[in-house]
Amino acid sequence: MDKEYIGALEDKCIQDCPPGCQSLCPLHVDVRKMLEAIQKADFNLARSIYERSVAFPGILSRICDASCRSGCLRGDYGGAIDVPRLEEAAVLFGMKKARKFRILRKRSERVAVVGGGLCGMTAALTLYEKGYDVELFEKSSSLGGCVRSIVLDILTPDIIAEDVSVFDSTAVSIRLNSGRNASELENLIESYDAVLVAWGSGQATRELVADIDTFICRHSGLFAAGSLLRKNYSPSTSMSDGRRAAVSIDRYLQGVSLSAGRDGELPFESCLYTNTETIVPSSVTVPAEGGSFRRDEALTEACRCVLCECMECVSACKLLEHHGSYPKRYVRELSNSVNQFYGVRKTKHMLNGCTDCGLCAELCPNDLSMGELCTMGKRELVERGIMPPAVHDFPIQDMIYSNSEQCSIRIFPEGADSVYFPGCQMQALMPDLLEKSYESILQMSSGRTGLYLGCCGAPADWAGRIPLRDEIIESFRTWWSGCGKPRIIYACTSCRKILANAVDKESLISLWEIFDEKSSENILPATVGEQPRLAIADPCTSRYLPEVRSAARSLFKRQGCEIEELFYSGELTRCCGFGGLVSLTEPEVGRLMVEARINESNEDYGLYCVMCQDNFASEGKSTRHILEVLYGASAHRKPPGSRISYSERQENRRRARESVRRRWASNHALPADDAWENTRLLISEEVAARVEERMILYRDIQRAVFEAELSGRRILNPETEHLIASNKPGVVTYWVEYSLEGEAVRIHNAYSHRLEVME
Amino acid sequence: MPTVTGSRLWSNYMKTEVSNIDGLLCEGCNLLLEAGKVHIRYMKSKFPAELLVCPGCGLIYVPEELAIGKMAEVERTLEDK
Repeated sequence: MDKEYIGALEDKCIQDCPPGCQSLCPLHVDVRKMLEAIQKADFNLARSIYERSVAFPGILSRICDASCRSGCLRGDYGGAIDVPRLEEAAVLFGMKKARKFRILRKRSERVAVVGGGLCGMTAALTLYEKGYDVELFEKSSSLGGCVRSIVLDILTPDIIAEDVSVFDSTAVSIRLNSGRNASELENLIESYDAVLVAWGSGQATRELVADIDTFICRHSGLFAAGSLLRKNYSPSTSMSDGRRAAVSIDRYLQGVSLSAGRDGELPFESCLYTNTETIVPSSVTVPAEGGSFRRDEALTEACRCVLCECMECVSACKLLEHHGSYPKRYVRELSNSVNQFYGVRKTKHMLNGCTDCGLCAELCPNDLSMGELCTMGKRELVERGIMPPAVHDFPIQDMIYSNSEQCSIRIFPEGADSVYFPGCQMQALMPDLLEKSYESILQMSSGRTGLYLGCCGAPADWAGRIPLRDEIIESFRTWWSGCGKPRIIYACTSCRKILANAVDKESLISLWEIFDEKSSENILPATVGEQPRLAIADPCTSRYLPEVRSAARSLFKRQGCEIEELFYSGELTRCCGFGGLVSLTEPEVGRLMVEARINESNEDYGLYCVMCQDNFASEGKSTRHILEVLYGASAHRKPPGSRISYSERQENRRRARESVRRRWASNHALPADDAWENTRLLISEEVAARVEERMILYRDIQRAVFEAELSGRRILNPETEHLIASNKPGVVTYWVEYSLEGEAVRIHNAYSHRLEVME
Repeated sequence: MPTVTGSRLWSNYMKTEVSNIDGLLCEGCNLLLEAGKVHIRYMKSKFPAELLVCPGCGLIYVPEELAIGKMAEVERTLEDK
């Protein structure tokens, strides 16, 4: 995976961006985290979060100028959060802990800070923490600067004294009643390695003209910061200036660039996106007594905070939610493990759990597609042989069988201009409706439509087996070209996605569009009885096919169904869990996806994807496929909550192929059955359920028994008198316990393993 | 090709009985299966193990408990490596 590509992807995820309150605060207080703590009534934590950014919490919390206000999303929903009063509550109700200073490295340089206001004090503390020998000069008899002139009932001398007492636990030497004038300043410049002048507003002199970003003055070693450089007084900005000036002095004394890499120190516009659709307006909490919040009031006000975050994709995708983080981190983890080849355990689960449905990119404010990344990662692991072949073996074998001559047939009558491509899943799950729909198409086209039974190659695509996929596509394309490139009528939008790689998009049209277009011709069956109200669940591969979605809706309506729209529909539709073979390879995530989808509405679902129908109905959802609305329920339908077994699906495909051959292509040869396919099995329901759960097909059992009988390589268990056979047709070894009953074989048990056992 | 991880995994899991069924008979050779040395291979690991084997033709038997229990665990561990 290309580093630049990965970097660009990471940058697209903005979940890590600080919210507006934090980005606009000159001190970048983590307001969201502080308010989250107050929401949980944890004032101690709230206070400690506040103190991480604010050196004088008692003072600032009383006079904070709340630059955060304009960045607060609540602004449009009842008024911005009253953060200053919550800061005060954090300080009032949170326990004070003695501040510990960790000086990593003692430095020999001496720095003088002139001016004991918020700016100077903050700078002095910061420089002290950086290891410098600091002296703080204040012209008056006490520290605090202009905050001392603020009305007493808000900011009492006690509060100031308490905050200022932080210097007692430092080695900063404080010189009161000094640092008053310019001549003293000259002496200081002579005797210190650096001097910071942090006077109040209106005290600027010509010497103190400073660079507004780095605070350095023309005179070497002299810095100026604080209100003297600013038009308006802002206590938070003064403290921020103090801290930033200290950083400049540190860099100056270390001889490194004063300006490099300092983005983000100043207030900035946040790039975090937060969905505001669910915010319920509520008005700002007003304190009942005086100017401060009581605990309960603080809690109420903090609870108004929506704790801004993006998480658009994570809240919609069960896979992203399941792995407990968000794309910025996933991208890094995935690229690291794919590129470095170790620690791919979690990665494999992530890659195999992605349906590549495209919803994440659709929801992301920056179009970040996790699907694209997962697909790429999966292909890379497959190419390098790190992906265990057994993971995708079952669906791949199933696909190969779908395209074998037992299940696949290609019919193209003379004079035809179209071919119907119903897809392997319709052939497996509702073969009767496949034939009925073909009958309708033949009527509509006066017999000028061919039929292609087979698989498009989607399972190979999803398994990351690209050469195999291309082989299948190429085989179709060659046949299709040989037929004169007829129009392809597809029923499955996943087939469409794959076929679009091989043929011109103009050649592809959906069955629903054809049916909708010809609906006035009285070929489609008329409505019978009352139709249910249906919530339409669009398949994920219809996301960018508005014409297909609209034709499907039109057909449902034509048959008299009242339809409802789901929240996740149209371009925002989400996958049933079949895409990417997730239901098979990561069944836990697959189930979460199905559950989420079927719980979107209590209404019955109207569907036009056979796999959506299979996944939802087998989890107990009441569903109607569009073909069922047209022709009545398929004879192969199982009651909600049960599913058609994998063996039945294969058998359905084989039978559908034979039925189609007999009806429309009797000149085609019968497929040459393998001898073992005629092995007649007797299987109890209990054993059938067990082998289905173990994903063992009857065909696997037939082959194992047949070959054991033929070769005589079988084991006898004298206790049970059962025979034991094994066979390894691919990556999996199958074991069968059986006994012979006349011409038939009674199956007692079957199991499999992927480890290869050899002499 | 034997890898430490594969062998260790196997020995951790597989010190148990090779089978709890007595008197399994290889029908082709008409011989009783006996505990014997075999090799197990998966992904990039290969390691020796002991299973029931026909002394005549080398036919190997894997009991169900082993296949769906410990073998499945080893498979998952090797796949997740």
